[in-house]
Amino acid sequence: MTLDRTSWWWRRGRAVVVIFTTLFAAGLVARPLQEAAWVEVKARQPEMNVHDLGDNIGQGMLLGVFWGFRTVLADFIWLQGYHYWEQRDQPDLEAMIYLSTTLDPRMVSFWDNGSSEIALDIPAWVYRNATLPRDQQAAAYRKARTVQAERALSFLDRGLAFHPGEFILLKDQATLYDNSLHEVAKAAEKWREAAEADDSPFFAGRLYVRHLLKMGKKMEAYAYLKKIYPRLPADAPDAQKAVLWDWIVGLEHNLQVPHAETPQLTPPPGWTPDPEIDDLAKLIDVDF
Amino acid sequence: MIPALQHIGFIGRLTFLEAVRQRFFNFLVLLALALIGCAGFFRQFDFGPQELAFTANFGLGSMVFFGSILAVVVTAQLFFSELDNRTALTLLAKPVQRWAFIAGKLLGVAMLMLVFVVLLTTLLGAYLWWRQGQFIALWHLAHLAGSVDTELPESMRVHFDGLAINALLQWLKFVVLGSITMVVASFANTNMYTVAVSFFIYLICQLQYIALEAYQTVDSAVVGSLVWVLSFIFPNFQLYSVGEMLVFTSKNPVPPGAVWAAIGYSVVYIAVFYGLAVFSFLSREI
Repeated sequence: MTLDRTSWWWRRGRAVVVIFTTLFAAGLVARPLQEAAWVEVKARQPEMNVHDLGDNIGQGMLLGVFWGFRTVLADFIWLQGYHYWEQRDQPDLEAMIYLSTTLDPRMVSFWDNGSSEIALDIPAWVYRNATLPRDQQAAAYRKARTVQAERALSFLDRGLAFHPGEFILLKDQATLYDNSLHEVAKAAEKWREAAEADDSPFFAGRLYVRHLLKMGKKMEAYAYLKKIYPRLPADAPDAQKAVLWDWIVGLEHNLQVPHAETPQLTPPPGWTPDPEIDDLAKLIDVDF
Repeated sequence: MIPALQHIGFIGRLTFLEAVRQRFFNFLVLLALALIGCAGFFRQFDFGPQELAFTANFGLGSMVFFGSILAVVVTAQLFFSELDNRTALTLLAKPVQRWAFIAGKLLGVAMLMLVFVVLLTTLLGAYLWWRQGQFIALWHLAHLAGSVDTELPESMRVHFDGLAINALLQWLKFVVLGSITMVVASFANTNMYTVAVSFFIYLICQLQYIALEAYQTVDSAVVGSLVWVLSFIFPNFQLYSVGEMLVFTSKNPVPPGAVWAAIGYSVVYIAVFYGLAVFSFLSREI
């Protein structure tokens, strides 16, 4: 069999081989340049990390295609989500929430509001839409609340991967553990993380102390209070320095530890002991 | 060599002039400029607190979106108009080499994309400069009243040098895309086929970054190998998705080395695609 070098197949086949071989060789030559630039680009955009996407490779494709307009597209998809929210359409609402956070994971408000809709609004719809007998409705609601809270928690975990140490998202997780799942230990851990976040409001630390006390960890609560008290500004009303000093003294009474006043641990000016200083439960308003 | 360079310059100039007279180019440029001008209107659909970042993102998005369409469609149109009008025959009958013809066409497309990028960047820069000035004036007033911190917020700091670097990178990306289109046009029979295939390749290039890493996680050895080969064959267009980082980030800026690497990467691919277009066009019957 002779090879007809003038045939269409020969010419096209040769062209295809030359083009692909050349491109492969160019890819090899340009790989160091690509690596040098790509490492820097990817390091500044965690959403570009394919390994973190795992099975959700479609999200990476979506990002790749819509990169230029992703902010405005994410905004419109988020608005579309409100249409489904009004319709109480759970699957479409969740799809819109996931899509908008995929396109623009930098928007903290998407993660914050999205988790609330997943964890709180949807169970309420399930409860209202249920055609169950009255005695079974509460159980159905509790179940929906638990399932949705867990979904919201994993959703927030994704958000925290893009916003490490973001107070709003940590606060959302802590609140879900508290109110939907009633897991005090996990809520305490989240409040601790929230209290350590940048620009964290002072109440996060107080809530961590309350959770420690709910778990009976009085000594840990006392140590934590002594740690944060010196850092609180005296002139900020929301720091409630006098209240925290009451708690320290109350815990000292309760635990019968000697009061060790140091230059950092002094009562705020004008402090007078709370009348319920010896009743820790009333003082800190914790149901032990 | 000098006559060949003159031919390239001549064909490039004619290609550019022909392109700027096209309604399609003018329409896309006006649309892109209008979109940037209307960024303030679209701001009402935004949920983020930073107007400048939104405007920059929107403007850079317009540039990428319309620029990509322009690079593909105009390159294909300009190439096929020469063939359809038989002007290519006249040109190539003269002592004009085919490689010079392709180089001239590519030069014209590059000049066109340069005009497009400069226009859009200038408008975006002017808009950002104007709004930044207003924000800074308000911030100074608030600062004097003692109601804000002493440091100007990151979101108000627009790096105009970064905007210029981004314009250069986007231009290089469009030239790479134009040269890819030229390769397709060099063997394709119709304009429509060229545009469709080029957009398909553009999509692959946009998604190449997935292939770059995903081949390690693919279970099947055959599919993994195929993905690995693909990651070498197509250029990575996500390298150019650095606009916002260049314009806003001052805490962790993109190092100059990465920018130079992206420029070198573009030059390599422009040269390679140009070479392939010439190789394919040499054996084409006109």
